[in-house]
Amino acid sequence: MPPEKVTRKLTKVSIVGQRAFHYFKDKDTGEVLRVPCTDEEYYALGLKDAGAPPTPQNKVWWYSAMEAEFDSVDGDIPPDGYVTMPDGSHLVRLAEYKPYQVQEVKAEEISGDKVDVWQ
Amino acid sequence: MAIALDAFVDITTTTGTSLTYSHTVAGSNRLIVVDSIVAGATVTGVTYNGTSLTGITQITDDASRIHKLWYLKAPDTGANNVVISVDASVFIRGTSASYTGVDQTTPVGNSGTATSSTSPVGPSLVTTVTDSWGVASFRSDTGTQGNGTCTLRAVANSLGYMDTNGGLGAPATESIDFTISSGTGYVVAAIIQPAAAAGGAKPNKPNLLTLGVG
Repeated sequence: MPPEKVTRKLTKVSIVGQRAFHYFKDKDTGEVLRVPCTDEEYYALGLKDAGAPPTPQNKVWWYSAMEAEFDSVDGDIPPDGYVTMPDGSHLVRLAEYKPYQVQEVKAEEISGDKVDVWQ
Repeated sequence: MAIALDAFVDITTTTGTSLTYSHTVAGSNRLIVVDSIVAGATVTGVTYNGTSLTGITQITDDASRIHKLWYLKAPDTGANNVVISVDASVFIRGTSASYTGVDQTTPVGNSGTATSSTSPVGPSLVTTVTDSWGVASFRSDTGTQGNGTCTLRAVANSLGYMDTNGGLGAPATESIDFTISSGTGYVVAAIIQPAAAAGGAKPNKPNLLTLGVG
């Protein structure tokens, strides 16, 4: 069947703080592993000769980030959730995606907490 | 001494105020260029192995994303960390490219921006040293993007980084551009200049035939 557009009801969340994560990739599968870290551990990466953070076996460090924390159960944008950015655009996390797999959508694409998506 | 691409890294993170990743630098007469892309916020600084980069110039595209180029000459060799810091929680994309064979006195020449709906899109910049390269950040709001005078190194969500992937020849006015299939394109670009060849040879060495020998 050809793809069609369906309307999804989203949960809107807000930014309430920030927290840091390391991201690693599995050497064999490329699967992403997300590991929380302290602010101190994150900022230490910016110092001279810091190198990579402690890396789990068979993983390679991908990147680290000081990310926004949202007013949700686990601090992430919930499945089928979104946040509005300072410039009016939105970041949307569809239910089938990981917490770090968000999509940018224009301000006008969400109305009444609903967005049309291809499915 | 010819410029050559040493290494290239492209990372996009979710909403945040800071992004850190590793970039390995090697070779001589080194330069690292970072392309920061954020929306609705200001990049407060970019560092490599703890040393601050210098901002070159920037452009704001149709989605309010600010594309800014930064550089650091003689970056430390080895696997060291790039850090991009922002003044608000936004989508951050960081792209870094390191080059060898770059002049260490004046590594960066002219810079500029371009916005156009006519392909190819890019600013015309004057080069003053033979075989300089162009480096740039780009975006188009619709359609597809392709190589122009520049080779696209990374494309995601219709934006990314590119460079001329080779010297531009004798000093001239050069277009640092990419192609678009539709819509409007945005480019911020700069010229990076090669180091002088070993032995002191200069780009403007006179040709014996012009000296009226005989």
